Amino acid sequence: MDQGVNRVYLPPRSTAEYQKQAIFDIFPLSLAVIPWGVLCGSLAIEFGLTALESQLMSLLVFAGAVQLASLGVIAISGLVPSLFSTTFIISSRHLLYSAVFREDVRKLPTAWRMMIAFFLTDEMFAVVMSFKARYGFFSEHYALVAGFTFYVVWNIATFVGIYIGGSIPDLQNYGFEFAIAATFIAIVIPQVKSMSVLVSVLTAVITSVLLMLFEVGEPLMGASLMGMLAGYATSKLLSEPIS
Amino acid sequence: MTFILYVSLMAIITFTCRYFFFANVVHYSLHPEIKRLLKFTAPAVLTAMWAPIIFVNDGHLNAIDNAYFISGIITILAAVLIPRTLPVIVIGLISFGALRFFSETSLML
Repeated sequence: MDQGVNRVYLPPRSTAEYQKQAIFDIFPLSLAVIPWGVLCGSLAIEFGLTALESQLMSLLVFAGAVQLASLGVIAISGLVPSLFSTTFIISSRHLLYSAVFREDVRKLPTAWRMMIAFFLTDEMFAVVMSFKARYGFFSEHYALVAGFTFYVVWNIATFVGIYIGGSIPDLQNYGFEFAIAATFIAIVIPQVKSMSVLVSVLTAVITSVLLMLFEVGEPLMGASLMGMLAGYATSKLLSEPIS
Repeated sequence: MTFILYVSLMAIITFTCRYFFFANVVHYSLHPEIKRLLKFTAPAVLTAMWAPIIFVNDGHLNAIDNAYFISGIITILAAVLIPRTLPVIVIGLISFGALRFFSETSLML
């Protein structure tokens, strides 16, 4: 699988260059998420939250899937304790991202670790992993700016949604989801450099599609864990080195 | 007031999930076998997000003439050939936009 050709990309030279690169890399994902931010804002208004309450969700919770799901719960049953279990179940994949970055951030001061954690989303995780695969190291400046850029776009989108309120056009018909898929494909495929990663990706494709088709369990977490275990098992069987 | 309390607790939950392994209260190093498993987090989780968008819609497999499916395959092929992310994303989006455009205009004919 490994062609033995190591492409060398020169890493950014200064902090400012890291920051520019981060904004550049997270840009397509920020654009793709705008419709969801608008939806979060306008649904919150439609379900009876005030403008301030709606914005606070994006400012404090900062998790699209959690916000949309909790708005659904609030609309049906109001403020109920089950909001917390819903929040935890949807957020649990971030525990994995947190574990992945542990070695990279553990030497940083607490304030840095807290900031990076606050801005740690699927999208930030994706671009930082892509950065690591390209240059071979982790940059806290890159991670923070990527996460913060995404946060700003998400909150502006929410604000727009609040402003236009319940009168949103049918955003889901424009295919913004495809932009997210294309970006994740572009990030994942170059990382397929060993048999174990290939098996992991193929397993995640098959299980995520099957779980979606048969509507069983939590497709995202289920398929993610299956993909990880399949990659792990292959890596053990072939005695691949850990790093 | 109750709302602020609820949103704050939700924010604490999302933050805790993100910060959990960043905490340095207990100094420990992850077991090498755990590291081996975590190596597959990015490919597996991100794939679990993109694959359903490309292959499934509304509980059904996408037909082979579906724009998501065709452009998804084009994007995958582009990613195999080109190791840089931006050109791959651009190729994927152009193919998707073109397919959507032509399928809509042909419907109007």
